[in-house]
Amino acid sequence: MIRHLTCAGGALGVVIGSDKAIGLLFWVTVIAAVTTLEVIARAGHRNLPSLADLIERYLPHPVVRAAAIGLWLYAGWHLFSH
Amino acid sequence: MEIRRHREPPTRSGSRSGRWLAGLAGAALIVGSSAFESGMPLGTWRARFMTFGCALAAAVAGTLWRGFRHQHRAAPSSPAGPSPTAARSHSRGALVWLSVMVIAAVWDVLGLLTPPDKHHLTLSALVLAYQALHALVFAVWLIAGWFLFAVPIRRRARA
Repeated sequence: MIRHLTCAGGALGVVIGSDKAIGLLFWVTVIAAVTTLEVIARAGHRNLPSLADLIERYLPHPVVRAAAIGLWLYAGWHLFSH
Repeated sequence: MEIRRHREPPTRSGSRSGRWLAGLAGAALIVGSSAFESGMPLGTWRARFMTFGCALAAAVAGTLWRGFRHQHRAAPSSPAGPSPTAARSHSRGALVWLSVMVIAAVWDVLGLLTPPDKHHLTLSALVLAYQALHALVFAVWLIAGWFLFAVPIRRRARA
């Protein structure tokens, strides 16, 4: 199943011209989706929580928040520093 | 039914324009630092210092913002807390966010399983390949860090 999915993704990449372009398109779409959700939540047009609401609701405890911050720092090190 | 329980008092136009200016200045700093950092070669001490310097700046800015909001926050409009309808709407909205995160996580894991002769489609591999994506992801990372420090921490468990 996973091999078929990755092969399908690779085939789609060949059709578009570059498998890297598929990946770029996907991640840009994810960032656009997150931004859109945040804008909708801030505008208050639908009953959608913002990122701040989610963090306040699901990461309220100092220990949990510290763990999330540790994860954020690790992500920064992994993506941008090493 | 509104999710947000806290209603802020009407602000004067001066403080509102001040917040807009602060927001614009913050956005300009994020864009500038992202563009600058994305041009640095990875694995160098300059890149490390820049990354964690920006992380420290986001942490300080978020903490200062949290203190500022705490001083100017109004009392909750509903002391009893959110209604059950609002709580259900909040849970449905949180599921939307969760679905986006799960899709991104599944893609990243599948990207690790690509054959050796193909380019990995993980976020870290593509950030190395495209400088513009590197800058964009760096900006998103800084904003996420700001949120983590700016949102209040619950000191005591709710009754």
